[in-house]
Amino acid sequence: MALALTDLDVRRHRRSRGDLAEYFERAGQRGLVVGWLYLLVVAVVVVLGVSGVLARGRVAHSFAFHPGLQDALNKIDNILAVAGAVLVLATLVVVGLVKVAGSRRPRIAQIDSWSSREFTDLGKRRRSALRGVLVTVFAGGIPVVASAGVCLAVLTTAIGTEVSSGPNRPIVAALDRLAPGSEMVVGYSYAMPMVEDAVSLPLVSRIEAVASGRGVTSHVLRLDLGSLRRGRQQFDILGVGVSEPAGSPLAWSPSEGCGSVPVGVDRAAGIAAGTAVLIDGSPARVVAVMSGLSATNRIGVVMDQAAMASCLGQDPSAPVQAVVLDTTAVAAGSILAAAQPGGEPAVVVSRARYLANSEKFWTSNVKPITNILALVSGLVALIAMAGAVNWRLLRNRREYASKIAAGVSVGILRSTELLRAAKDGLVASIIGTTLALVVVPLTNMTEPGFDAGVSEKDVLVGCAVGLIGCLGGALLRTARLDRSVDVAESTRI
Amino acid sequence: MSRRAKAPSSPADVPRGVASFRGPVAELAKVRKTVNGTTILNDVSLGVHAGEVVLIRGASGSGKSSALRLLAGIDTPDSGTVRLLGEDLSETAPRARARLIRDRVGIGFQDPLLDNALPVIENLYGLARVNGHFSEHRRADRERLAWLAETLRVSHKLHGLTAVLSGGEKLRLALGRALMARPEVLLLDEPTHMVDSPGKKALYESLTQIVASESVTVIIVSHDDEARAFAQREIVFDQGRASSS
Repeated sequence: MALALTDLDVRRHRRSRGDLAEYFERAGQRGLVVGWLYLLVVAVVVVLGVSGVLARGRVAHSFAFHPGLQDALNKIDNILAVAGAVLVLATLVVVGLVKVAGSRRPRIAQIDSWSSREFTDLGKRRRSALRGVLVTVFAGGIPVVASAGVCLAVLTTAIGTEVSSGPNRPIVAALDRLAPGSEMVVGYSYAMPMVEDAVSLPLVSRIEAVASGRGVTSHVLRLDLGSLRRGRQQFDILGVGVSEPAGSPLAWSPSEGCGSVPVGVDRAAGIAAGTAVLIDGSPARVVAVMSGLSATNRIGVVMDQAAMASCLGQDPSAPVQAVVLDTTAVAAGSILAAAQPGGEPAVVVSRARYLANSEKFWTSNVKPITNILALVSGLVALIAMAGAVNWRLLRNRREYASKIAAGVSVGILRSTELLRAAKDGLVASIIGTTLALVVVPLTNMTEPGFDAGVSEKDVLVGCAVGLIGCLGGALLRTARLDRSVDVAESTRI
Repeated sequence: MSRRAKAPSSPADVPRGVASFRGPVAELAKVRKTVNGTTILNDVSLGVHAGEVVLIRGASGSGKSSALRLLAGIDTPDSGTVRLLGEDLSETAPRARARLIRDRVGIGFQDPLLDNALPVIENLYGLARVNGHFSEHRRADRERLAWLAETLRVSHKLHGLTAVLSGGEKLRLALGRALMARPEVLLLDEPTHMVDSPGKKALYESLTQIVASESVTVIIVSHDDEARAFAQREIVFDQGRASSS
């Protein structure tokens, strides 16, 4: 049967043929452009490779050190901790007020209800187990990525705190054990633990004599950066020589000889009391297991200072770390002046200054990096939550569209999402912190003497990361909610 | 419409503005709408008066749904005037337009667009509650909720999950959601889309009961025979043009 074509049909047919030719021509041109782009990338890589940039293995550029930037980075954890405290309280207040107000105001109750659940079930009855896990765990319900961000922030802050304050721990413990005393004579004003110091033995003797003459108690702080060996296991140690009273398990007298020097060892080494060990090659026996004595990668060992001087192969005339004077700064200065007529190098610093020198050194070394990691975890949480909110908007776009079409204001829907984000932030803070309580102690297994723990400040930094991430992500994605949801399009089948 | 006389009355006795409305409550005047170069509505004019139940029918692609979406304020025309309850929608600010829809108009889409993850009861009152038209503390509102659930035959599933309702139940629930705020105008786009004949019958029976007890103006887009029996008047769309039959 022949078809009778009208002029209109013929025109449509020609137009259709023309459209198709144009369509395929454009597709071909696009393919050509993209193909040349690929080839251009190959050319750039080859040129860089030939010129040796890639052959060096890394592309790097050294920028000059910026002290202001370091100071700013060092403050980030403190700023985040304050922000965390404020945000946690503010969020709890807002969520609590919404609940209370909802009992009287139906509109607020509805926003609260909507903010706690998904609108769509994505065909819940028929979905596979894997899809169910994805929807329930990764997209709705538990804010997994934000929780991981909180955990990471707590972890990095806790590590930063440990690395910057850990080196002081054995010295503080040793000083506490030695005697009360707020002033110390050291080789130079920037002296600190874990760094060799030099107060000469003749000067030490004169200081002790002058102090004794003035009725001031003095104690010599002698450190030993040596090693401890038990069988095939070896640790770097920070040996602290202390004056032990007679009768103490750590007390030692020269008459005992160096065959089995009594020592106290930090529990980080995992060595039980009664175990025979070698300290700097000299036989010793563990008589006490102590805590809070180790620094990172330095197991704290306490022994009688006379034994340390006699048995560890130290040069008896070697300088000591410090002389602690139990008196005021002025009196300590006067004692030092009287004891150094020859002007030997030594100064009086406070115990607080001595410890601060150490903390500042380690803080400058490590904290900017750990703080950057905390910031990065916050940024990751923010981007992830923005993505999660976006995915939720996409998933629920038809439900949102039907509500906007029915006259629900965009402000109410935005409030719903922000309230949901606040709840997500709180949930992420709780889950992330709980995870960190497990993960942070695990890091202590990686290095002897490492003693990271979760403090109140670390928790607040984590909460700040979780809440800023969730609320920031929601704010980013709902700022133009009316544009994200195309009402006309989304209400069509 | 003799069926209206038998219907029970709504429990809420709320004053309604539409009863005293003069002129058409919904009106398209010389409206043109073009999408991607194709003319969907070509110089369409129609008017629906207060209390009328009007059916808009026509073949697929004839423009009937587009006309309804213009009246609902979801789309805007290229030219011409769209008036709803006396307001020129193209001249009304978006917020005022949203308020007009929220307070005086009920909308039902082809897809019920329910919150499937929520309980049935929350779908029924949720929109009205967030828009300030339902309070669990008001006895009249609670009674209206129960009456609508009963009339729409979903009262036995109120506390179940919406996702497990049948297609017909979902459509009736969506109708209840649109009616919860006591609208003056009800706009329904293919309310029995993809439902079998008994389902359609059940929905129109429920709708008849409700319309009989509340002087709501209904504009319904459908090509069902059941809808023709329900409507008082028909407007037929053909290739973007409207004519009364």
